[in-house]
Amino acid sequence: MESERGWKFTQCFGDKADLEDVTEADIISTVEFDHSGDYLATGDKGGRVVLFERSDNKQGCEYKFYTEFQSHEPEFDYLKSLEIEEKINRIKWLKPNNNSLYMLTTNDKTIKLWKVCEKALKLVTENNLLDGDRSPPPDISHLRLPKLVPHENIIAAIPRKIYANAHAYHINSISVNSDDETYLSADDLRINLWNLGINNQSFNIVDIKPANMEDLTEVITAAEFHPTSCNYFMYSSSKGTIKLCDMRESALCDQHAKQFEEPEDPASKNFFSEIISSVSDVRFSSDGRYILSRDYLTLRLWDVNMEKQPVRTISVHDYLKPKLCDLYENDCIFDKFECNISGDGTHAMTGSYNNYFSIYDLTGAGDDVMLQADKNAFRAKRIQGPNGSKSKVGIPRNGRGGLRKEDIDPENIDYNRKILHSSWHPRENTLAVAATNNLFIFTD
Amino acid sequence: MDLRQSIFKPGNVQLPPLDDSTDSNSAHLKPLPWSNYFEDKQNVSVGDTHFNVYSSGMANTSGPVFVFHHGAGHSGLTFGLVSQYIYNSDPSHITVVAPDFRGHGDTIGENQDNLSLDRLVDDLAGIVDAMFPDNKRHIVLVGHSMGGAVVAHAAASKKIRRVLGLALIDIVEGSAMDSLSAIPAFINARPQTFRSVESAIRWHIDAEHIQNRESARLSVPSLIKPISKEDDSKVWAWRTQLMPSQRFWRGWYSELSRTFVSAPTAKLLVLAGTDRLDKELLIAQMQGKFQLELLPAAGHTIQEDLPQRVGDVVLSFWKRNQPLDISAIRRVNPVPS
Repeated sequence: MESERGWKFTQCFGDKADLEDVTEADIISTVEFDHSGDYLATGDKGGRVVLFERSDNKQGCEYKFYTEFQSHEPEFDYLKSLEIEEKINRIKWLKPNNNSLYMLTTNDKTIKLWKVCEKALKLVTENNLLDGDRSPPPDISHLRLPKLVPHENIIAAIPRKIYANAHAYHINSISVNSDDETYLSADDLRINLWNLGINNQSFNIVDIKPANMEDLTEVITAAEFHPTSCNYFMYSSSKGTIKLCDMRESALCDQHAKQFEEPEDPASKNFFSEIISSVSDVRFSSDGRYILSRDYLTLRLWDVNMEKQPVRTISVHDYLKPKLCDLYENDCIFDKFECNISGDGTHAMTGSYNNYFSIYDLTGAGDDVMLQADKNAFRAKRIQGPNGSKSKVGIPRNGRGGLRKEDIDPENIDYNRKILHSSWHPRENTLAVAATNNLFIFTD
Repeated sequence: MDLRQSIFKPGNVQLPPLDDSTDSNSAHLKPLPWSNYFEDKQNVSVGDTHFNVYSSGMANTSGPVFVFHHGAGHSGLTFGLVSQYIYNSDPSHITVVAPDFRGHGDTIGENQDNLSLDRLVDDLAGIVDAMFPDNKRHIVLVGHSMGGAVVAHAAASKKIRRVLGLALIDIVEGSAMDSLSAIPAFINARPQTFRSVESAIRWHIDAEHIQNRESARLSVPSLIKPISKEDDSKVWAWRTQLMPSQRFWRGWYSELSRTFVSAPTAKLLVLAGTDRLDKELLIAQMQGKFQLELLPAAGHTIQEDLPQRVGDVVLSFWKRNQPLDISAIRRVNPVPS
């Protein structure tokens, strides 16, 4: 029954300018809740990180701006004559320590460990010479001892470690291990294992670079550590495979322990089959028993114990199938959509074009919901339910007023507005969704 | 483009067109009429052939005449943009002439298969004589590719008089001779027929034979002709079949460098970056025997890809080589009597 329940949008950050007026540096490139859900981090194309802090008030929860810092600067690789973008590809939180927040941020080449803490600033008062404006005191009775007076508290972000020069290709993922000591970083062809305390060395644990680069057919697209077993990690590839590796087996994990791949139906093979099978994002559920993967048209849920096919395959936007040719021409077919799984493992979420995104009930019990992260959502569109009740912007997928997936016309979709990056709160059903330069918070 | 994209989209992957019928609706592929670029289109009869000649400024009586010779498989419209640019720089003096040669474009007649070098040189001389009898004006000959060989021989053999300048576009004997064996493969790789004129234009642009869309829209329609099939549908096939002329190819280019260098006139060679000078031309260039211009941004049909650059080069080449106008100087400071 439709009632006031259901997903609704609660907040929006960022100026709601038209797409043509957006400054490229403001485009959000990654979103991540911390382990408690009290803090939310976003990274943008300009290399900045913005942190939001949760505050609970009587209306419910609200995220407020906490601090902002410049994480990465644009650089130039003189050897290859290439620019290194400052765009933040990923942010991963570490466990807080000593009232300070810690996180790893990375661009294409360099990973940095940041410490964010409150510092009490103190001012020096009772200066004897006042920077030369006063003459020295005539005798000792006029001598004043300088005092430190508390001024204000500021939030400072300090880079504690910089892990540089370990990747020849563009870093696409970082993942902190459950042992809180190590983390991995993955680029197109290699995965490295780091110790958080050591920034000048890393171990290479996966290398799929062919001897001759002209034979290149496959790249690594995402990687993640297992949430509880510190020896397992997985990585996904552009050929649609997900490989689970055990670091205890050998130093170089080129041999996978498990490989999750659904064999392709040869009847439906076409020019685009391989491109759309590329896995753009892969996540473990918080108990480590399931893997959620996203390729261009579908979302797949895998049971870790069953490799040959996913437990569930969900079509995200099948109406794009006839448009694949156009999407290849305008490069949209290469867009990398992220996926998210809720903390309790019951729901999955992923984005689409025209700022649409969908939330799926993985248990199969409830409805799937499709929403739109749009500035017009401010004026909460009221959709008439069957019993006269009005629900807010939620556009329930199974009809009852409002847009259904069946009604979407692929000719009228804005392919420049896409939901690529998002994060699910670890403990409740709250989503942070990035739409170009805006951040939307939705809550169930 | 990131590494993953480059696996799937290397630079030259050609997707099959969505649907050929959609081309006809594209405004950006619509053919352009010759009249946008030339003033006149006339028939000039020489011997057994009625040559179709495009021209502008035929009313002018003094000033230079730029005669353009297109290459094998092209037509006079390949020089449409360049000649318009040159003519517009001084429309009251300059005359530009761009014929369609034997077996090409709208030219008709007997013996259209005889594309031997001597025949083509005589044709060119015949056209110039017919259009400018008792010519007193300076002539600048501009030839592209095979047309360059024709104008070079025409100038060197003095079959055309009062040649002020000789310009060759993208033709070097050494490279041309080396590539002769590859030409049949190139011809076979072309589609035999096109579903529409717009399709043909689109193919030229996609295959990067012509990088300038406007020029393709002007020149491509003259390269194809409609054929009706049994079922009353129409397809468009090539106007000029190039394979039958194979026996003439070697003759066009042999001794070209020497002929070019020995021509008794000012000389200009315009090359896209893709060509290299052969030994004879290199020595001649070092000796200052001709002017060399490199336009690396262009493909083989430089005059279509970069019409303004080529126009500027040819205009300044002509201006630099104009004879001194003594009468003007004399008039400036009359001797006081």
